[in-house]
Amino acid sequence: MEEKILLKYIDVPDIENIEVYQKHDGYKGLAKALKQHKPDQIIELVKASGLRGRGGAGFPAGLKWSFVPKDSGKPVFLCCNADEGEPGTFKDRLLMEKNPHQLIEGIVITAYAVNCHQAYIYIRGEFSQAMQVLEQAIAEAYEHNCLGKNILKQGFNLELSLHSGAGSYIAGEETGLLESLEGKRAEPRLKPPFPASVGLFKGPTVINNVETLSNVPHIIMRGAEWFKGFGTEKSTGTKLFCLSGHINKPGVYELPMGIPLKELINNYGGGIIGGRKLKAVIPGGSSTPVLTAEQVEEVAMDFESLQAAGTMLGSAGVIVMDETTCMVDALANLTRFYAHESCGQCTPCREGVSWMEKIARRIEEGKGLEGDLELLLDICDNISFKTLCPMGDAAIGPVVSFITKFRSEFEDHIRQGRCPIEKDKSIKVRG
Amino acid sequence: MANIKIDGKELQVADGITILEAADIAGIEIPHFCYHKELSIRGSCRMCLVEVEKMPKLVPACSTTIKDEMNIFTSSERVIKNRRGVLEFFLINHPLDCPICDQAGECTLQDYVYKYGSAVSRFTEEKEHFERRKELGPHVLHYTERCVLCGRCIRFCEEISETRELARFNRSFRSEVDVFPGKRLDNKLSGNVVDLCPVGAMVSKEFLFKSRVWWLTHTESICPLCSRGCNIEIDSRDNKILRVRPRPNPEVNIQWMCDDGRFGWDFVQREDRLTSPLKREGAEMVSISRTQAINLVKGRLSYIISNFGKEAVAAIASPYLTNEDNYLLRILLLSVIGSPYLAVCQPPQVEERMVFPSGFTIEADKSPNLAGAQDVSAVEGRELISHRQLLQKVASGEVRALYFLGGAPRMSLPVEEREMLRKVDFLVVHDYAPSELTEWAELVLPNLSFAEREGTFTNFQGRVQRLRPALLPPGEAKPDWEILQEVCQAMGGEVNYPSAEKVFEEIVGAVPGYKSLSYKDLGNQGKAKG
Repeated sequence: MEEKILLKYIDVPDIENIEVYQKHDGYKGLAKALKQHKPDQIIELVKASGLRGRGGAGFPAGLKWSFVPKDSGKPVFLCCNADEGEPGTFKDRLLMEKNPHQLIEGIVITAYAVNCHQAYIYIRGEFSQAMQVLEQAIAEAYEHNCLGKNILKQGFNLELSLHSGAGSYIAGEETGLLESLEGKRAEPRLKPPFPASVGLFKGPTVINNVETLSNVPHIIMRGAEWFKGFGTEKSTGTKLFCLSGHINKPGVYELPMGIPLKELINNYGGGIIGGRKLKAVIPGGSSTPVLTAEQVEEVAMDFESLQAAGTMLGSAGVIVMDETTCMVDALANLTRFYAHESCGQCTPCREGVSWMEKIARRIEEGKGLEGDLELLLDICDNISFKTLCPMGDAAIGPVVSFITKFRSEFEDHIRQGRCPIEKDKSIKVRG
Repeated sequence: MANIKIDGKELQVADGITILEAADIAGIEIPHFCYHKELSIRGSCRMCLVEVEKMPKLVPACSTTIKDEMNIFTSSERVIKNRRGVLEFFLINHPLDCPICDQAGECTLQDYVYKYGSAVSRFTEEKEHFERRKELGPHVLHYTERCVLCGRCIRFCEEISETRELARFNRSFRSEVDVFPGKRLDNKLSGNVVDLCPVGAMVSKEFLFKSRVWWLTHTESICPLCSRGCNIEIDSRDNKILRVRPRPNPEVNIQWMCDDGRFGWDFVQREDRLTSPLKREGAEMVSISRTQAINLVKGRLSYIISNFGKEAVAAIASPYLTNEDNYLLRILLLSVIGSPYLAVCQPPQVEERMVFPSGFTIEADKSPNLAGAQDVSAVEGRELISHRQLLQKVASGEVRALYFLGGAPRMSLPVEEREMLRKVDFLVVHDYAPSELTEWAELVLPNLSFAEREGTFTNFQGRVQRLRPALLPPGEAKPDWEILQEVCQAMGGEVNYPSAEKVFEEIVGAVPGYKSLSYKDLGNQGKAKG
């Protein structure tokens, strides 16, 4: 069994209780950080650890923190992005429901590093259980002087508020999150300015994913070198992989970065249901370009390897599709999600994505026309890198990759005027 | 300063301006929808994306600031393809109902599609449908399916009127602009969202289906409904006003106007406009010729002067009429007759001054030319008598003849002042329609509304601005200065101005503060007096 970091104590009974958490080294990282480190030293330490953002983009966390201006004269905010909404992703929920203090400890240390005295956890509205757990944990942390004034008697103050979203994918986009947190519609902001300089309530703001922040106490406790012992040279640490789809053992697996995808599916996920043939895998949440079965044979699960394969590690939501999957149907389903979730402010995303959904659905229903695939790809080109936020590109990720890699299946649909795939009806794909 | 290149053109521009602004300086138009110079920048329409050397993605021209050495391409293949793509996206769910759309002919979407769009649609799906027409408020309708969701209207209500009635509702392709539940778009500036809308989504209830816009004649003028003097354009057809819209003037009205002004010109088209001089005969007013009218004035004034002296004649100038009109009244009374009793009618204050946080202001004084009427009536070294004092002289019998210039769109004199008018032996009134002034008048001479006039108003800031005639006058109605000139001549005065312009030139010489001005230099935005 590999050594775990984030899920190490996940099965300890009552680990969500602060006293139990403290017995398992809980809040020792915080104490060490406050007593032995200056804020800048923490930033340097995290930079040295190579910790990269676990929300999808993989931006180095320490570097992000170092962008916060020290002399803006405005309060600095820290927002924990707990709006986990990328289809195929369910790791942050687990971290929050099972080990909330690990996250809170990471938040306090990060806040200390960036000189922030007001932090928020922006949590997805549907996560009612995680909310309850976090509320309780935050109250306990205040009681135990791990939050509030003069934390652990080291002179550092931090208020932490839990804020629930109202159910929107785009609230997970960092500036959409800030708008929502300010009480407005979750509509991404034009960048620049970037949140590190002008963010929440116009103050410098750091936004980090739940998993990213949960790693911080461990890096403080055990050092950058130890952390770099996990994973690859540029993708350090472990990663929570979310396995779903046509797989025998779906679930969250913590493994070092760089694990071969094949090993993840077969050794950990228990292989494909019913011994059927693998067809495709979406490696990093629904927006990341799909991999064919042949690519799955070769690719490793770290930022660089997946980028080299033309896709992304993203949120590490690994969606496994076997031979009973109709790629056209799956695409229609994915675009339906993005068409539904587009915030609607910018033109290409608002209009283009629903258009793509309609075409994909039509092809699946046997009413595809010659030229539809070229049209779809051209719509993608008209969206690609032209939208206000990354959502446009998220929406076209599956479209371009599905058509490019499974073109003959699309062509069969159009030519035959029907869906030629024998689907496994026992798994409901459309929600 | 930054040295940049736009489409090969080298130029030097101020640091910190945007690509869109720089292109404007270079005379290059970058198509856009959501950008508006008076509103915050959202960068959401994606129409203004341009290519910048060394930047991998196309960038929004509206929000990207200039950097030294920037090399910008506004019509490269990639840029044009994006424009075509954005326009196609706008059109897929658009009803394409240009033939019955009020905006046709002045529609940004239409113009851009004409320039960059495709003649063939690639969209074969069902269009999304919305409620066809929503009533947002007393003046504004919303054709949701035509909306491009640029959000200018929403930002206007957030940033300029600060009334916040509008928002975007729902997400994605189901997005639509609407009023918040329980609210109506009925702020004083609501009509501006119609002007701001680049397409035919926001339309004016008053103008709806009145005319195709290309049949309209556009005349630059000044709003007569408060002392701010918003610069306007009168859109007319067949000698009727169909629409009034603001013209930009940063010194006066930015580029807005209030709904009172925008929709308040109906008095011009009153059914009962006066078309010939009227003389009282008992309870009746009978029509007489102009010559008869002038003779009547001459006869009555001469009689009163010879029996009671010059000071038995008084006149009240009008803050609703132009400087030129009021100046001729001054010549008649002070020079030709020689009476000192010239007053300026004080307009009643009916509401408070309204200052919007964005700076736009609706003045409490609902007359357009109080400052100007006072300027041209004043004689150096002598206080102007108030119209109230003057009316008291009428009541006391000291003044027996009163020359009263009217022209107020809907002013009402207080009852007691109106009663004083009954006391006067000879009341001659200029007005455009029956009013409380004409009620007791012995003689009424029909004058013009603002929309038929040439001349100048001086706004509350002392800015002298020109009116231009959009309509032909009804019947024998004449500008007041012309009528007064005839009266002067009949009374032996030596005046002969061929035009309002010539009267203004006389004012320039005679009235302090106007010396630096010339009629031609007033242009279409006016000039501040000295």
